[in-house]
Amino acid sequence: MMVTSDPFLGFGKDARTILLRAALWAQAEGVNAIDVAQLRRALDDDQPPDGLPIQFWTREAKRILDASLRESLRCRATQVSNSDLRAALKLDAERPNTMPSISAEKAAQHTVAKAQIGNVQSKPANCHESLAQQHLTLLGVPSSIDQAYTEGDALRVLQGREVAPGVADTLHLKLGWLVGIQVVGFINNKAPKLRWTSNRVLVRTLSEGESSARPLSFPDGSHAILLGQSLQESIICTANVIEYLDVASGLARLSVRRRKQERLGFEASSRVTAVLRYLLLGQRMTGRLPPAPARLDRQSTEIAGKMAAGAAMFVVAHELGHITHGHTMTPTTPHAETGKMTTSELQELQADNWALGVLTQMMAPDEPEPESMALWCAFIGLFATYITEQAIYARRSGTHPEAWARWAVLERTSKECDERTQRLRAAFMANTAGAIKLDEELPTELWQLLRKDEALTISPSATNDTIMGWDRLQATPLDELVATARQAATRDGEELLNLLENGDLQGALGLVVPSEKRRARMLDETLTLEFSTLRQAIANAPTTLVSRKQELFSVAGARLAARMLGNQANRG
Amino acid sequence: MDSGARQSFRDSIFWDDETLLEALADSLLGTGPGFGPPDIDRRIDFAQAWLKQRTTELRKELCGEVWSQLKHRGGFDLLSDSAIVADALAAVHGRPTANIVAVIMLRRGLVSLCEADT
Repeated sequence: MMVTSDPFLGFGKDARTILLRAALWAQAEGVNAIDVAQLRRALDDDQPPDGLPIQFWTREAKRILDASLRESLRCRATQVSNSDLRAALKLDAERPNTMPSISAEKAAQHTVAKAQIGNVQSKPANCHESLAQQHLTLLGVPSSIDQAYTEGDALRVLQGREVAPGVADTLHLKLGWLVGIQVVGFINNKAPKLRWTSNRVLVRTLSEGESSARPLSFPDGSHAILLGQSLQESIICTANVIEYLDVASGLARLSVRRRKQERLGFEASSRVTAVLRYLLLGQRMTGRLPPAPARLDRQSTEIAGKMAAGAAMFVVAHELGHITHGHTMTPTTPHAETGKMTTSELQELQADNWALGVLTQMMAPDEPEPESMALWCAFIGLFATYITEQAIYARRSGTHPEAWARWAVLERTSKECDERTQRLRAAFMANTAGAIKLDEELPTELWQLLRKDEALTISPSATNDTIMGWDRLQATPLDELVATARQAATRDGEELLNLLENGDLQGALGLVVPSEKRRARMLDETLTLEFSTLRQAIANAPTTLVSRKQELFSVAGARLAARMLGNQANRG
Repeated sequence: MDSGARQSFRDSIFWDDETLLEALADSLLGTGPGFGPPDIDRRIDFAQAWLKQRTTELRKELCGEVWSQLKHRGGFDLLSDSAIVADALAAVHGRPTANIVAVIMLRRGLVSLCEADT
């Protein structure tokens, strides 16, 4: 179908020049009507030969003109510009188009609309970008990956080893970006009506901020998924540890002598417990995930890398699940049907389930058992979160079920897995349970084991003394630790410990936190409270609480407060 | 600004620094559901760092016309001054973020931003 009405009403001078060029290119190429190819050629600055311009437009080209009108309206421009044409072409290339054809009436509507808009509203910045893109620019997320890196750098990041400053951020950004393109692209293919193109649903990694992921939705229908770099680091680390456990326990089973078999199996398992404990202690004491490098062989590194990317995909799909289910709030009131569960917790399970379904479909063409592989990705994503949560929080909010419970729900609704997978998951969960059980110190021999095998080790800068010191502070029976803290406490320090021992958190915080609002937030049972927040509040108290042993005192106080708040890792 | 936004803008003038930073983090990072529970302290740190990274940009946006307009107004009114600053920031930062940044910047003092040695 062709139109003969004037489609140029509302087009600026430059845009008209492009349309004329396209018409000349159509003539030069000997076609009957101007198509998208000629529009592209004209926009590429190709100068056409002189001639008699073609006056007819193909349906596809009309769609572009129509889209450019819409784009200029969205940008509150007074006329269609070349950039509107470019934006329309880009948009058209990314999705199947069902827009109605252009008409002179529509063009006239545009001129009316532009007159109504006038100068009342200023033109938004970068109006050809989606609001999600603009927001990411505001956040300071790079719009392209410019920092150079080598394959070796990428390998080091996947092994959890240190790289040059900035390079790790770049590689994590790239990982999040690529994972996003894959998941969003897959969903866009399955459900094009959602219009989840790569410039409307953007997945980006933030080097600072939460150890989680969050979706942000915008009025133009675009979305940004923000992934925390520390969550990605935790995922990579968890994938490496699981791969190590798989390989090392498999090797142990190969031993002919039973005693050696048992010893190697025990060592592999103990090493995993120790490294998980180290990750937990490091986060608890320093606020950051400490480096736990894994030097696996090439094949294992590849497997762990793929699993980590899959786990990141699960996280991204989970966020997209929230969007598709229309979850915008996190109500912590009990859900009417489930009783004990909050509405927000139920939403999390819905998003997990949706993500697992998406991942299973994504993996179907390449994996013989896609559901099993998708479950592994979910397992890694959830347990990476679990270890971090156990390390960080003194009190969890009611927004999310604990990660192990989320895993249990996914596992229960899935097909039974093979014996090896069952054994590996059970072993990892047992090691995790051992690592988070802070009521007794890990034996010295276990820490030493970590130095013996380079396949799974810890940062060389963390000495055994430091780690065992952290462990002692967390694992010493609380009464004993408090008694030691009292020896160095001032009168105010004594009072603080007394209040905490008597369960008077409000009174205790009144001594150490001057800001009323901050105190209220720390006491609010619906909000998370980090162990390090409690510790810092005590360490930065406006009065002198302790004459020496500052670290021990603040940990003792924070543990007393945390015990009251009931996190599993704080009992003892 | 609609009436709800105006009211919340008025309220924000009375918030303490930490609440303002939390609101800024909410505006930048979102408040809805996520993969794990929100790390409120980390979100506040993020907002703090975000503001710090933007000092140069904020100086450019606020220390010209806006600063001279405020200096020549005579008297100090946090609500109307915040509105002027928020208007100046709105084009780049978007409305909710601009409102919060405006209150924070005025609370911290534009003198220190605009007349400090850079």
